[in-house]
Amino acid sequence: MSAYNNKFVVPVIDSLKNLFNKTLSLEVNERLPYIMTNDDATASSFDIISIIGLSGEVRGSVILGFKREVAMKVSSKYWQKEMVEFDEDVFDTVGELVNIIAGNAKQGIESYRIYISLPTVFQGSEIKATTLSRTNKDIPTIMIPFTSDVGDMHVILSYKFET
Amino acid sequence: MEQANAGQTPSLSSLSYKNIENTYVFNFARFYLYLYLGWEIFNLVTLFLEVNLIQLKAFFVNIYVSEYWIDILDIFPNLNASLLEQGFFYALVGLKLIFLLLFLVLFVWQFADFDFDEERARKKKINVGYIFSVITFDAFSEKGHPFFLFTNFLVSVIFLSLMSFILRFSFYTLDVGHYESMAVLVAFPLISNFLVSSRRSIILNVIIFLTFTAVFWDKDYLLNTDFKTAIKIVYAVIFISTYFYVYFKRINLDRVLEKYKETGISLMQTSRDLSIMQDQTQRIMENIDDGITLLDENFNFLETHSRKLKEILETEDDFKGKNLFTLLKKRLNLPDKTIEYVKRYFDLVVRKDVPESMIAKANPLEKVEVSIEVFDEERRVSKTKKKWLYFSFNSIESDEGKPQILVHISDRTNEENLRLRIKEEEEKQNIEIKMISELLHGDPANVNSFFNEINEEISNFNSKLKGSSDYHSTLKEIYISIHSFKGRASVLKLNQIVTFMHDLEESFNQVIYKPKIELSDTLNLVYLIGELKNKIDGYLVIGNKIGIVKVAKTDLSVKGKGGAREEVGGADSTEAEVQTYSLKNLNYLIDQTIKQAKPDHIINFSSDVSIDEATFVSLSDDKKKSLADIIIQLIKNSFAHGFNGANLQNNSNPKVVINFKKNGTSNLFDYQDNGGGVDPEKIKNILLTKKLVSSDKVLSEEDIANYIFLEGVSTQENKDIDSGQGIGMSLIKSKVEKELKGKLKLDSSPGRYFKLSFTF
Amino acid sequence: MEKILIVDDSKLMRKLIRGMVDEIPFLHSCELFEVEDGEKADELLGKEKIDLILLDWNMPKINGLEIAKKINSNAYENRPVIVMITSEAAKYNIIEALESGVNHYLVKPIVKKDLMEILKKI
Repeated sequence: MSAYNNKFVVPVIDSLKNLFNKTLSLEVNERLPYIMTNDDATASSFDIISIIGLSGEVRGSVILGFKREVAMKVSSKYWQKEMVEFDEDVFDTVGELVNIIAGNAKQGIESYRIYISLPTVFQGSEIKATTLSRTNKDIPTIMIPFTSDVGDMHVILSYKFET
Repeated sequence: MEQANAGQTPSLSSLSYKNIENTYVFNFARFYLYLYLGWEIFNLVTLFLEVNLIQLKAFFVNIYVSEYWIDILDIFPNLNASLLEQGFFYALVGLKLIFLLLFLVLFVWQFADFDFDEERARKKKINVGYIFSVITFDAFSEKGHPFFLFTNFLVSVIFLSLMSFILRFSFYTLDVGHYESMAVLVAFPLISNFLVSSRRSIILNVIIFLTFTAVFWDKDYLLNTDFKTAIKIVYAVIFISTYFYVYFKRINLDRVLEKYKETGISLMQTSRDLSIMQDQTQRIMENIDDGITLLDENFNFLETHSRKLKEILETEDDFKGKNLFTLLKKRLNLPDKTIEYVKRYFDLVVRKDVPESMIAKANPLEKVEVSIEVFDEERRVSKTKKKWLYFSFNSIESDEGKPQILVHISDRTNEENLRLRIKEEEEKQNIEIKMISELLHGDPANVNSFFNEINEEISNFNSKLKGSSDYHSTLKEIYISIHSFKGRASVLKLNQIVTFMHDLEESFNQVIYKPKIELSDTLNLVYLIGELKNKIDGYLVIGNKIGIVKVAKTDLSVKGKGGAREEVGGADSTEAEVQTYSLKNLNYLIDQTIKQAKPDHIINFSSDVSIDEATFVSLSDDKKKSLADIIIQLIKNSFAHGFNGANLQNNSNPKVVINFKKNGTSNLFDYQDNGGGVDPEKIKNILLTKKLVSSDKVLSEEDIANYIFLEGVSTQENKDIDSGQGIGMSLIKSKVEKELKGKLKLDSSPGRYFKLSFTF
Repeated sequence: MEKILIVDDSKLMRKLIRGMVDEIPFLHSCELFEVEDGEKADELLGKEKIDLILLDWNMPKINGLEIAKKINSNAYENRPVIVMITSEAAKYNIIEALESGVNHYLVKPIVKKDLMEILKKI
């Protein structure tokens, strides 16, 4: 097994922080990323997640996971009004967030040609994201927790380089 | 060689004579030149056809040796007039023939050889068209050319002849001497007007004027008065017109220059300006700190480039004619994909409809890290050098309308490295500030002992790992220890350490429950422990600086347990250490733990702590420490489980009671809260989900007592930084049994109380 | 500038962009259209004489790049100025967009200042 290629992790962290700083003036700090190896022992569960697929020279997905309250608070900041319903508008926002994070992250890894899909948003309770590592043991799923004033969020990365 | 190349930027040199060639003055001069040439040739041909040597002689003499020249001869009666005349004659004939021949050759050669492609013309080196242009052009320029006087004289002669020719037809009745003289008078203002293009020609005019005046002054017998007056008037007119000409020309020039400045291309008016520009360009290219060069339409390098370019690209080779893409690939080792995008990008650069801001935005080489192979002279090996290069490209148009690309490369390696270092420094500084504020917040004695102990403990981790064959149990031991230190750090509000240790716990969590632990897993954990050590060291250094933490100077890892404590340097530190294990400190620790663990909505909480001082003091330091850890953990558990949710609603007076006293030869510890106790159903559910028991098993109280001490069993659904890891009870169990060699007793009634006691 | 079309599949983005356009004084008299995918944009471009299109890249059905290409091939009566507003930040994306006839390119998250600067130039 070759060493894990973490080239994509830093651009993702940077673009998330930039997004929140620039548009919401919200300081987010990353915590130690960890590799999800045994989902029932460690997986955080979410109320809403948005997924964007990566294809081209990097294959995999970027997932953004929130608890309901955090998603609502973040959306409220975006829409500049208090969101009362956990509705389409919140889902739309969470989808757009992952879209921008993945799209901007491409900037930090210019030498690879990456295509991103349209974002998909799931809403429910106790959603656990495990991604590619379920089927392909070589591809680890990396959880990156972020803390902020409005609550915690997770970026879940799972990708491999096609070379 | 390189300098010469640099000076002759094609796009610049092409401006030189071509631009000026098209100017009014130049064409005017040329027109007269050709006219005169034609006339002289016509004259000569007709004369030679008639083979009339006398007329031929008269022709030349008529023109050049006019009456007043002969008058001049009279001033010097000693001279042999006819000899002088003959000498004049032959000299003039010879001179005139030479001029004629020269003009003829130039005239024919110009059309035969003139090359309008300046690239090719330059390659031919001796291009008559070029030389012709330069000579004629220089006659009107301020640029001092060695041929200056010669060419000016040439032009003067032409005009004199021309005017005499015109006058001969106009005043045919006048005698020869007069119209020749008149020619001078009429032609001279014109000549001087052409000559004033050059400042030096004013000097020439002055010299001629003074000579004439000196010669003609008061020599009534030389010329008649009218003629003299005419000359004076004419020269006055010459000067006035010269003055105005220069004046207006200046104004014009200024206006033109201004216009050029506005459009950003000043310095194109005269060749002097041009030479200044070439000069400046050359100097810029020599001294500028960036790489600058031009590419032709096929993206090959043109001759011009700044000296720095070679330095940036670490090469001595000549660039001229080389392809940019080859350079990007071979020299800078950029991947093919990037190069392909650069190619596509250039198509955009030369397109006219793409806005410049977009060109800048789309630049794939805006900021690029390259690796260049360089040869290390000292070690005689080649190595790869990493550089950060910023490229920018601008499209400019050559005179033929072909696109050229101006390339600007700057080496930002140092800035980039500096930026990274500053970022690192800033982060470090931020952390340090946080550390200081955290250190200042805590109780100094406790902070001190915490750091000294965790430092020692981390060294123990290493020795534990070193000697371990059973990863599971060793890692669990470390895990438990980390958890207990996390608890203490959280009491001391060392938030950064708490966060880090929490993350560390998470990482442990992922490993220790694996059925088989790989070496790679432990490597990651060891690395993280190293990080923790670094963090602690950071605190120690800062704490030491601000006098809060007194570090044991000796290496803790080589000492046995407790050894370090006696060797702490300095009396102050010893005092602090002893103080840590006083009862006062334990009470402080308990207060802090309650303050920190108690949620804000619990208001009427009370605690009853009775610890027998004599008994506590009689314990060894290790045991004191273990006991303190156990108490902290128990209090946290009470708040996390006993006084939460429904348990709290049924409880109006949450309370904990802590008792520690001597009981015969052993010590007795009692802990009790009036919280929710342990719910057997909950425990069973967890055990079921963890597949630790089968669903039909009935759990006795004893079973429950056993199970809640298992690691990973927690009734808390949402784990947070303080609880829910399922480690608290197992930590207590291990501390009591291993460190205190005591025996645990658990008593709990669901919804009423939780009691734990042990003797040791 | 008469008619402006905003194409983005995200309601949030459409709202944000509309908010920014509304705040630009010299665009007050403009008529604003909003659609949420490429197909509807295509339809509208066929019907209306759009002068400026603010176009997302990644959209369902027909993506923004295809719309740009179609506009560039003069498929519609009017050739609007194309401003692409997308999260795609890679240089090769910008190159590709410019090749397809996009006139200006903005990377999300956008701020009013950036948009205003570009619109001023048009």
